[in-house]
Amino acid sequence: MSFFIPLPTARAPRRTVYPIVLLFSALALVIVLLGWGIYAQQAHRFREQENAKLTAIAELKAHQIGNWLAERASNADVLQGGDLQAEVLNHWLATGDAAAQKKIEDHFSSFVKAYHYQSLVLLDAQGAIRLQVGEPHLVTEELRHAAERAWREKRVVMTDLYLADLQPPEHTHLDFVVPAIGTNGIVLALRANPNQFLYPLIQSWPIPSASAETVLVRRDGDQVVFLNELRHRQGAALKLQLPLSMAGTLPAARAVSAGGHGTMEGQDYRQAPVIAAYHDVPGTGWSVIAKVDRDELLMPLRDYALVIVVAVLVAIAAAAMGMFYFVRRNEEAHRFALQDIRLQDMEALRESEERFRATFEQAAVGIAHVAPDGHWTRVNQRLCDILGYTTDELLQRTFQDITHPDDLEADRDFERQMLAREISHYAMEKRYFRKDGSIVWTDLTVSLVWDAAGGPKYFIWVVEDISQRKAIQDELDDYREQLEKRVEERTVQLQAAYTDLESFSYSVSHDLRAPLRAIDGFSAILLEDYAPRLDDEGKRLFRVVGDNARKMGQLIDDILAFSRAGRIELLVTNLDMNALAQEVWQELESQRAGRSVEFRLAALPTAYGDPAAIRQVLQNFLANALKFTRGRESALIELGGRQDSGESIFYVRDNGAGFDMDYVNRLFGLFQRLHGMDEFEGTGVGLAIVKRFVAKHGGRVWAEGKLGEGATFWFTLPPAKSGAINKETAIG
Amino acid sequence: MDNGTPVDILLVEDNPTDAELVLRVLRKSNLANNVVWVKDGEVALDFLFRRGNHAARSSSMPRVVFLDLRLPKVDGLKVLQQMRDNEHARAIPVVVLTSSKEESDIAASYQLGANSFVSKPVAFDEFSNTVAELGRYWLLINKIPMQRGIAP
Repeated sequence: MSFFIPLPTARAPRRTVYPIVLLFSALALVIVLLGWGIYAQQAHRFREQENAKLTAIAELKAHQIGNWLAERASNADVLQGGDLQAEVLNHWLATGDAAAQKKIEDHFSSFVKAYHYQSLVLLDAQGAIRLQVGEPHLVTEELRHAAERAWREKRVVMTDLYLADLQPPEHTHLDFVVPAIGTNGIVLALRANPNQFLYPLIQSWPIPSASAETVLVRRDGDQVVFLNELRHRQGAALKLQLPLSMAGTLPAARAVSAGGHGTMEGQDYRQAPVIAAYHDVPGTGWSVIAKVDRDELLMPLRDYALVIVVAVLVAIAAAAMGMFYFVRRNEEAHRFALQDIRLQDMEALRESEERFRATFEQAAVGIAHVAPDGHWTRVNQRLCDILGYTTDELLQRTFQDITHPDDLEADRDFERQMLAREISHYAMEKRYFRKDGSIVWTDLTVSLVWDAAGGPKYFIWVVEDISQRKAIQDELDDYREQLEKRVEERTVQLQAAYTDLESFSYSVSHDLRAPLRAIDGFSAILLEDYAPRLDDEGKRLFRVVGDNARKMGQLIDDILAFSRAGRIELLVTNLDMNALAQEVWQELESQRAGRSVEFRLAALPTAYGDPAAIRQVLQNFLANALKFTRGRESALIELGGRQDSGESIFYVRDNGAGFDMDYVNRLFGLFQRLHGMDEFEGTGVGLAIVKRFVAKHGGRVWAEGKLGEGATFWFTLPPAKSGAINKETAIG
Repeated sequence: MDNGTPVDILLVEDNPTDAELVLRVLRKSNLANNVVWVKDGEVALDFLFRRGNHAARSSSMPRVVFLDLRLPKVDGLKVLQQMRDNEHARAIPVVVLTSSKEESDIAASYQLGANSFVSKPVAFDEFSNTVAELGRYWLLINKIPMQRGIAP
């Protein structure tokens, strides 16, 4: 036989580099994606912010320009019309009056100054200058067209920006033409200098910038014309023109061809990459473009990208280091653990075998392995001791050889069942013949070990010596038998005693009464027939004889009642205690005749008992209460109760004579009386009967009282059973 | 006794003092003219069945039997049983008059056909009232069939 415990198979430390590289790559990818995500989000937000800034600037400029133009037009409008002005003008034109001319010149001069115009000229219908205020004025083609339109439309007309002087230095001009209504085709032409306000307005930028600029453009056929001086090119105003076909990349071309407003990324007139916003100027064909060089605008974003890249690289490096450290530590731990396990395994195996051997050899019960043919194959010392053979002697025998023949068949039966796999083990009490011929009782437990092929290998027998137990058991059996016999004898004796008692009480009831009747009867007859011959004392003495005879009669009746209370068989049912109490109280009417007695009957819990017995109980308690309240002017008797933890508790309380609590223990004893005969009559049996009846129901009685103040008597009964049918409640 | 006078009451009572008290009460209350008193069950049955000493009795059957239960020789319940088994005595009213108050005695008496069960009180005044009451009821109030059996 060999015993072995499966060892944990020793494993070589697996090189886990491949999965770790994979894990690291995945981690690095996640870090990169994360960095890129953060950057993309930030860039998108940054671009949106910058676009919004450019859009705001373009919109602001467009509105300022629009407002400036509207202001010009409304100023000019002041000069238009008016009867007085027409009258003065007509008068001057007709007469050439110097005073009138002076007045007109003054008026115009102050207007020009007040509103920052460069000059003002008065043109007649032929376009000739009739009057001039401010700087010398050249009548241009644009001015003449505007004058015609002003008269035609009878309103202020604005020329576009144009180059007025043909010789250098060239000047850009903007004219506002006002028809002098009421005259014969006279117009007033106001000239504004864009350099004075318009261009500075356009060129200003709200924050310091190396490349930002605002450009004002308009469409001219299939060209876009730059209207103002440019930041990055001199002398471009009204001279630089670029084709609209560049709308795909050139913001200026896009602005005038698309109209409205928008943002875009493209190349400006220098072919430099820019980011731009455009906005049209209301009421004109102009558009404002606010643009910044892409390089300048995205400079912060590049810095940010650099930070992100560095952060990603640092994170990847950290991950790599962490992983390297983790792998190293794991390998070391694994190596140590493996060493440990090997040592432990060997130790465990050694201990296990040692433990098994000790268990087998030193067990306090006999243990054996038995071959399927019945031969002992391995036995321990204890078994040898039990059976009285040496190990070698046993190993040469089969178990059948030494089994008591009466027990062999049962053993073989169990064995067959186990081999058929019907049972996995069995236990039985059986006898063996010891070597010395004596019989030993054992408790045998058998299980079966199967081999790998599914055949029976050997039985494991556990044999316990129970000879001593058997002996004790036999002895106990003897005792039991004797005891039973004795009980039987006693029962017969008791039965006889009981029968004697029966006949005794029968005799008492029958025979003891007769002499008493004779005593009372004959003393009565004596008193009746011999009255004249007896003096008063003689009569009294005979009455005493009679009284005592009657008292003894009562005593006999009470003893019999008490005896009956013990013998009676209870016929139990559910009881309506309130109804029962009412009935009993009615029956006691004669005992309270002529007295003032208050009876307080509370709602009582139900009870389960013999109606006749419980009626007797209530009767005794209530009669007692009536008796002991006799001296009270207004007697109070209460009957109440409650249900409490599986029992019904009742009480009868009176305000009568009460009793001394020192003697409470005697209250329910037979013939026990706590009051003198001359105070309260009675034999002292009533409460003893009550106690008997209540006890027979499994209940308890007790009392509380105080001398001269009253008493309370308690008794308990089982509560009504829900299954039982109760006549009273069925009716009620 | 055997003078042919109609018998009012057959008193079966072994206790002479009890018997004397009963007789006195009946006499005092002038109820019974002819009361026959026998001291045991055997004599009672002899009287009723006209045998033994009473074989030549010429008187009629008693109007009522006052029967004690504890009797020498033949017990009261036996007497009752034999009376009820006899066609001549079957109809005679029987009042069980005894000291017993035992439920078993009461039940057995009625089971055997007693007409009444009366427990003798110990107190003499109660006793007199009871016996007088019995005499009045069974002799004055109660009606019995016309005498059959052996003619006088």
